[in-house]
Amino acid sequence: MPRIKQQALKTELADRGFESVSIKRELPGGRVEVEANKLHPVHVEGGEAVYAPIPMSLSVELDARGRVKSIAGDTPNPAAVADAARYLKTLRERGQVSSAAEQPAPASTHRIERDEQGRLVLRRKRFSIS
Amino acid sequence: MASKRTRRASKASAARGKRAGKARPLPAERRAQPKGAINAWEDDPGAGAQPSGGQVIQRPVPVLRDEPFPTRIVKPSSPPVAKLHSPGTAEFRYWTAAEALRRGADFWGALLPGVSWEVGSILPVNLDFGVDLNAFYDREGLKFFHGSAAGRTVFSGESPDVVCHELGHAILDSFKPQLFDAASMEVAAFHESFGDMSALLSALQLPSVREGVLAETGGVLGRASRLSRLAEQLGWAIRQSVPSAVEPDCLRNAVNTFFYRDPDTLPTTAPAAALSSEPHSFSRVFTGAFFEGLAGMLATTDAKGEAALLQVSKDMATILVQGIGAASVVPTFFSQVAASMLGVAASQFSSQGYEVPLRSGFVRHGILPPAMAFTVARARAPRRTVAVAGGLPQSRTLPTLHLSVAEYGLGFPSIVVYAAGEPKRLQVAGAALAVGAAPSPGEDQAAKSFFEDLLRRGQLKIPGGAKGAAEMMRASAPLTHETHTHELRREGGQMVLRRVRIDCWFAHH
Repeated sequence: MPRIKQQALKTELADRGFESVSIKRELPGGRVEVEANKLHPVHVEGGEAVYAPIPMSLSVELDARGRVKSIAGDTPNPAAVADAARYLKTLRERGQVSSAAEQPAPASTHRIERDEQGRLVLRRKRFSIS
Repeated sequence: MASKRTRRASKASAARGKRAGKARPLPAERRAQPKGAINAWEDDPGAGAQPSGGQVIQRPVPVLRDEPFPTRIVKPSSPPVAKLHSPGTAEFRYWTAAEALRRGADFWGALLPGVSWEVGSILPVNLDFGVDLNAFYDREGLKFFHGSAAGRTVFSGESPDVVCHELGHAILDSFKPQLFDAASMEVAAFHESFGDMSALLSALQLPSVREGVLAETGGVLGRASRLSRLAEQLGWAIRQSVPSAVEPDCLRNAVNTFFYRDPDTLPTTAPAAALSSEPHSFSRVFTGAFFEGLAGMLATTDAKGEAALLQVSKDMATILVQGIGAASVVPTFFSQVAASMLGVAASQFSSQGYEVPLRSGFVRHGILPPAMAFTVARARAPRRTVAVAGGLPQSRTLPTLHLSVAEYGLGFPSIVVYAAGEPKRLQVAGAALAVGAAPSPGEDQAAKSFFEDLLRRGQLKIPGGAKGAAEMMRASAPLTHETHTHELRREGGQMVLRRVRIDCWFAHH
């Protein structure tokens, strides 16, 4: 079992598009269980896909130097994608999501903004008390 | 974007510091405690349905920059003199917020060694970010507001309940950052529930709250109280303009009877009296189960007093934090956390007997089905076998049915019930949630549903041998007399389900 260099692993997974990476535990066979979010298209608006962060649990195989050799489970679960699509729909219905071009409404907790790759991405901006 | 990079760099820098062996100062290594005391609200400026009437307490001067989880009030930018200020002054509001921040940070920090804020080393707090009846946590810090209602100005940062709720978001974000952005209805609702649980548990760190709530409820913590009612004053202010948006006597009440539903089947919004998929509304299912579990845990202690309540609050927080850490982030997140919490309770708190009350809370609020809740801990439960044989006196009114109950861990594979198995006169059924009639269950399914419902509601008395495995506690049940409606009796070598009384639903839900 290679020694896990947590920060290096997080950086490597971030380079592969994973966000909010948490290393949960070491698994047998040089693997590591990781929790992370990955952007996935969940809705189409005006002919353009809207991406949302989908929670995933990954099994990452490391090589002898502790670098990522392979990743199992890096395809979002259809149930999680459907949940995200419903989530976006309910945010819309409650007026809690605004676009980057708009002034955020008082009730807004989320924003759809364009990321560095030019994708429209749903992002939480805050939590509120009510 | 630049500020985001700065924040990330700050967190990364803190992490590098830890890896390099830079020890975070422990609470015991704090700077000297300042002399003197400040006045603060105990849990809220309001009381019940009223915007005033909260209890003022004296507390040591809080030092926000200390570990664990240091915070800094950025507005107002400089602290007023630390002394006993009167309610209604800006100085009082500052110190009551500071006291709540320090108390909440100390409470959670003891359970999360080595964990730092997601926003960086210090969490900025703005006590007056503008006009609104609200409060926010974002990945910049905590933001509180002021707003007017019925001629009164309400400051959300003046309520320890509200402060500890928002602080709870920041705490959860520090050890489970994946949840912040996850596009999931249950995950979002759980974040809100954690905020409310943070307010409840942080309040219980005050001796006066523990003594007060035990006196108010007669020692039955599961009853509605000053503890279960969250953010009374802010709730009052919102009620002045939108009466249906909040509870009649607070913003949210942890003592509730909401039962889990797939949030996709719920309306997007609803009055406070009903459940919707809106995260604050839906969070009440988990918070209700949690609070019922907490109350049941206290009931299992010998002393049941103030000291026991303090210990139970700490144990519950341990179970919660570890359960969240172990839970997979999936669409059905509530059940994942609940099952993980039961596992922690079974493995680390078996001698305290917390598992049964905790399981009861989750089952009674529908977060876990009874059989699944039992399966979680089945590995630890001794298997018991009871032979079931022999004849049974037949009822003159209803046919009997042998119902398989092996999955509930009762210790016997089946029971006998009097089933509603008469022929239907009219082909009618209850309404489905969406359109038309709900499918009509067969008699065995109906009987099974009825039996499971009794288990969930804690209305079934189970004979001694099988008690530990399947019995559900009702934390709000009276201590002086039994209130279950059904029991399993051994009759002619078989276990028979018998009704023993009919109760008033509202008395001990």
